[in-house]
Amino acid sequence: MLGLGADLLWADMNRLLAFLFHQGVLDEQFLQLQQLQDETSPNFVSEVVNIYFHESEKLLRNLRGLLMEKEFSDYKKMGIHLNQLMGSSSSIGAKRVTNVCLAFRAATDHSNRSGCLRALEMLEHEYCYLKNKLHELFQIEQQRALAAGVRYPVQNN
Amino acid sequence: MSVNKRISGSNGRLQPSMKSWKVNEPLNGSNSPHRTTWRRKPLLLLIVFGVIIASFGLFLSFKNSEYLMSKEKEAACEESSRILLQRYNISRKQLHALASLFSGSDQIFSNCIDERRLQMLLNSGIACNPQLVCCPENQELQKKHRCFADTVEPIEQCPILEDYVRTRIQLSFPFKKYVLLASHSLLSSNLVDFLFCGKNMLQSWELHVSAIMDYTSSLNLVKEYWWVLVGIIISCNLSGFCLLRIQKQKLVEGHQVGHQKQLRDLSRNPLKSVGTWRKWSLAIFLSLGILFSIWLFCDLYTDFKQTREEMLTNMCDERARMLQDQFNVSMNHVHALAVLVSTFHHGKHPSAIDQHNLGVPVLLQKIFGEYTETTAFERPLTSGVAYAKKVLHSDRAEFEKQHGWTIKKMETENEALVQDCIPEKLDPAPIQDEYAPVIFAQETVSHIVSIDMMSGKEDRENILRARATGKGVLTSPFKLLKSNHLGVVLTFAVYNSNVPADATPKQRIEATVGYLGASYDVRSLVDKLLHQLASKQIIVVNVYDTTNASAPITMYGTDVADTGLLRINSLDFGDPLRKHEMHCRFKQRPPLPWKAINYSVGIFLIVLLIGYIYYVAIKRIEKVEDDTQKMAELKVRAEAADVAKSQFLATVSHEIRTPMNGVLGMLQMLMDTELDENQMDYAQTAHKSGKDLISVINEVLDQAKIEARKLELEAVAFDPHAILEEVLSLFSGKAKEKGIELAVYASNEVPKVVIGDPKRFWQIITNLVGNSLKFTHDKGHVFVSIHLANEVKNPLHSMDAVLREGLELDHDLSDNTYNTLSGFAVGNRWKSWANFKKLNSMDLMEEPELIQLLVTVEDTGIGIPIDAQSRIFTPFMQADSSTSRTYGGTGIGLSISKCLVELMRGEIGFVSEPGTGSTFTFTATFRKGETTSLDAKWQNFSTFDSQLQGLRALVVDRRKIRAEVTRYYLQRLGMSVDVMSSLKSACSCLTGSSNMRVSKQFAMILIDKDAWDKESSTLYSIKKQKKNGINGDRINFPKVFLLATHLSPNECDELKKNGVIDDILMKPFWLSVLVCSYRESLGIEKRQINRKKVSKLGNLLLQKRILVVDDNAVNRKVAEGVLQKYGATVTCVEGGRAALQMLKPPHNFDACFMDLQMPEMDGFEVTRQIRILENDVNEKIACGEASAEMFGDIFYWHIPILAMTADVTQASNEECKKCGMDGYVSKPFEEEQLYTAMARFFKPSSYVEAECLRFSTMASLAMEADLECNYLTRISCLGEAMLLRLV
Repeated sequence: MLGLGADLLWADMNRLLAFLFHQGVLDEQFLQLQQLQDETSPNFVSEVVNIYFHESEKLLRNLRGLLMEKEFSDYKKMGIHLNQLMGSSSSIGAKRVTNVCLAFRAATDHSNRSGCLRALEMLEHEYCYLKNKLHELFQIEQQRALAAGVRYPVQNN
Repeated sequence: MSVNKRISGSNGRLQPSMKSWKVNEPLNGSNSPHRTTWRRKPLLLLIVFGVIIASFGLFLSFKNSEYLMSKEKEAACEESSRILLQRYNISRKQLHALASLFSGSDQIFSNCIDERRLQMLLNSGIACNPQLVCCPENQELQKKHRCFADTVEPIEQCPILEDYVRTRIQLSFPFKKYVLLASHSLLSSNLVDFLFCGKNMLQSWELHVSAIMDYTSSLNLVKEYWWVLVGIIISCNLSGFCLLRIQKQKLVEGHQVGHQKQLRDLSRNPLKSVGTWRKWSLAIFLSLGILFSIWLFCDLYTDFKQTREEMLTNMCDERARMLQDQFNVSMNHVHALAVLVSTFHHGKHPSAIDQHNLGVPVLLQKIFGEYTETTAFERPLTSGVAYAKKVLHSDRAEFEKQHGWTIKKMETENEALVQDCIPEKLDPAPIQDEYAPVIFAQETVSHIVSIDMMSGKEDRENILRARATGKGVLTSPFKLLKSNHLGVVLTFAVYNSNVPADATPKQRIEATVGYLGASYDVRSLVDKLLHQLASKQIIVVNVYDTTNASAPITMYGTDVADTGLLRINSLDFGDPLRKHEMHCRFKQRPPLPWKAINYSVGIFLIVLLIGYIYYVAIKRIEKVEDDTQKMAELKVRAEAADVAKSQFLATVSHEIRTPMNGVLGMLQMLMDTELDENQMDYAQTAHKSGKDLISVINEVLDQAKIEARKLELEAVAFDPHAILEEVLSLFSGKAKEKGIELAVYASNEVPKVVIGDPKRFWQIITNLVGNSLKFTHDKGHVFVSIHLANEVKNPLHSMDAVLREGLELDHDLSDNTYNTLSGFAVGNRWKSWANFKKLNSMDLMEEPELIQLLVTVEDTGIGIPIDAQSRIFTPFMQADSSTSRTYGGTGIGLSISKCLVELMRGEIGFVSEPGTGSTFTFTATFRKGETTSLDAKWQNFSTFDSQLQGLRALVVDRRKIRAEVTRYYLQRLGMSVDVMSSLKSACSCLTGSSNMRVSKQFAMILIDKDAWDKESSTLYSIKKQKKNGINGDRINFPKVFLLATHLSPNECDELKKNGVIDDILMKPFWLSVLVCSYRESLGIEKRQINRKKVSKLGNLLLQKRILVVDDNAVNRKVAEGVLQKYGATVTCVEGGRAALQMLKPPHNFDACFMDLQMPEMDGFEVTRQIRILENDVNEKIACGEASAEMFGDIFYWHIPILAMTADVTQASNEECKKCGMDGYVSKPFEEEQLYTAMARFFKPSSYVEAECLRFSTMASLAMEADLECNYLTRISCLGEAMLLRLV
């Protein structure tokens, strides 16, 4: 069997991915991540991404906390958080989040509080978007995985 | 930012209310403006019609009044003309009388008398002239009135008269002097008189004219008012309509605004304000209308009154003037007579009258009588004239003697005698100073001869005054003798000599010789006069003598009831002492001013009518508003409900779908475990049901999406052929289960790439195919074909084979099959698109970018009952309720398909015969696409496998359609295909081609099983040929495949054993199967694993222990994943200290990946510390301080540390080197980079090791797989490689 009966779900997934790529939400790093997924680690991508989400949420929370402090904002600390976020984002190929992080970091470098706030909002927005989309993707993938298992038990000619 | 947000928030709060204002206003507008306008239109028409009629009527009435006015004028004109004529006649008669006088007097009198008479007569004649001259002047002033043209004519006869007079004058030239004198003396007074009269007339005409002007101006005014009224009405209506329209527009706008807000802000305030505004306007309009009508009434009434007054004034003036004129004329005549009589005395002594001896008095009496009788017409008002002689008492006796009678007293005590008035019966006059006995009298008053005029009180006074003034003197009215009518007596004194004009009264008295009296019978006089005038019935005329202002004496007329208007004209009868007045009044009281009443009432009614209409409209609008509001509320509620429903559906569907996936997955896993038969059955049923549920939910979601118009089509390049294949692959299992032949076909003209929504396209086809499969049992086929829509229009000979076959469904009588895929009858596909509007009238050529595909799904199922065919596309409607019981499904699929097709700007239709099958056809419009625009995935399908590219195949099939389908499949593989209808011809073809060059030879023969069964005789020849082929060139002989739909394994074996067939292909064949079979038959290995690079890196890293140091969990995980993929054993630590711990020699890591940016201790620092540690150890070993065993038998510790960094700049690279790192990799790992970096550290030996390991695994695999050549070759390859390395 040459796998001619390619899944609709595959198509769906590819389309979604293509869409995300087109929007610049993701870059090829994500593809590489996907390539890392194989039989030995079937849920590699989702694991990584879940870790990413976990970490990022923590970081975002910290960032917001830092920024919301009335008088003083620890820009240095924020920079460190941002670096982390940027690193992990670029690792999973979340391009837009990375870009926003860059802007954010620039704002922290200039101690620009309002810029920071704006960047934080944007960052949160981007992050949410990414999260939603990736969740969607994983859902499809899950379905696909299930469907692949469900459909056509291999027929022997 | 937060500030902004707040502002926007407040904006958000404000806007809805503002919107709602806007929204509510339209809501106030009628929801059904059309109906309202239609209902209003008749009313409007009615109003307009009424207004037109009313204005027309008004105009007419004004016209009429004008006409009446002109009539009146005409009457007046006629009257005056008549008067003129009369005058003219009078003067003519006068002339006649003069002439007769001449003739009489010539014989008797001397010249002097003649002179006198002539002078007098000429005076009167000339007096006539100015009058006549005057009149044309007046007439010229009134030239515009045509009626006067008539009067001008008789007046033009005047010159004749003048001429006559002139000739007379010329004839008696000596009298010229007198004439001139007379004309001088009398002309002026008469002229003035008549000029005055002319002026009067002029004034009256001016009055008329001004009245007319008034009327016209008032007419204009009224007209203007009407226009204003009409304008108001129209503007009202217009504004009403405009309002409606605006409201409608706003309503439309309003619809676009969120309804939630509407509901929230549906307050009635603006509505009420609008309503009250309307009511106010109605009230204002009504009050204005009423005021206007009242004003109109007043205006018209005053007009009416004025007109009446003017009329009265005019008539009264006219009468007074006439009376005065007539009276004056008479007076003049009497005066003339007096002058004439005085001539008897002039220059003679004793006067002619006193010459008794000659018998003259008798003669004179006779002449006087005759003359007065003949000239009586000149004094139409006098009942008679008489001459009384002045007799002094001293002369009485002589006088009595002379005349033979005594002077008698006028008044008697006996009233009865007065009545009779017989002079003989009267008493002789008492002795007085002087007497005035009447000596001459006109025939009519001959009874007063010998009566002493001085004896009457009135007459006496009169005589005394007359002789003192020398002018005509009037008595106050008294009852005349005999006639007993009320009358006045005019008395002139006759002087015996010429009395100078400035003579004193005494002189005059002395010069008096007699008195000429004329009695005027006022009643008959006025009667006569009034009879001459028009409209005498209308007015009542009273003439009073008002000399004694406190006790006016009625001269004429009766006392009548006061009828309101009264006009008093003073009359001048030539006696300055006497004052006379004429009182005119209408006979009747003024009639009600009907015109004013009518108009004002009419307008009032119109206003009321309009008001009523407006009121009704307001009511209606209010009702409609209320309704609209209710509707809007309901609508909002309904929409909210709809939204809620959709949301509920979506949520529920989603909520169900997610766990269902879990259920399905678990079930699948459950089925993979060891289950007994029952359990398996349960699990499968559950699984199937779950799947059905999922599909239903998906469909419901789709439907909801479509209903909400949220479904948007994508525009992606895709390959329709690939879609067909997907469909085929999806349903092949099911079709096979049911024993139905499933086939797809696309015509040559269908392009490789189109741009559209493949998913939805696929969905439609799947829906249709799914339905077809569902309703087809055990026999027949389901056939999907795609054509270009334009192909339908191609001429028959160039038409696609499948389409053509559809046209000519010839029935093969030999075995009772049809020329269809499975031989069963099908619906005529041509009919299924018979109703397509676009297809039949299609001109897609106008948009060359577009392409329309015609997809047909044909089955041999149970068909659709004819009565159900009309509602087949309605959601949740299946052919009948039993269908869902029998076949399941929601019946939503077709409706979704229809929606989708419509979204794709296509049409869907079907033809179905119960028992025969259904054929569904739809069209869908796509854009043309470039092949390069396909994504990799689709590319994958189209350039499938080059293995079969360019090969040539022979298809042997009796049924053309089936052959075409097969050909299509093979062509998809890049093969060129010949089609033969029978094995026999195929054989001959084969033998013919075997001699040809290799490229032209057939690579395979595909024989349909039907043909196979039919022509088993030819089997032998094939067999033989094949054997020949084997003997000759085995490879080049075409492979023979049998095509079958379903065969039992036994049959398969049997056929294979036959030796003729290389393999059996089960339909529907997928490309993959075909390729596989062909390859197998050729002996080509199935697949090559193409993972060279991976294996390279894998080799490098295989079994390596690698430490990853990164504080970022994600990065850690990714790095771990990457490295693990290449076979490395990865340990992760998250901080520098842990890394130091781990890398403290002795350790067994082969490499370390170090993140540079870490919180407490960054990568450089860690590396430095590691290096320090290592150096320590190395030094120790080198110095022998520590044995190598202590540190794991390694003499020189240097772990490769690679920096992981996101920004690989030269600076950081330098720093890396400086602090003892061996290299760096960019953080998102790149395979190539990783490989090059790693290759530097890992020796080839490890690679060989890995290869060896691979070898062993491969070998074991091969052994397991019965030494398949594929694996063997790989093993050999590996072995070779290993050998190479080892060497």
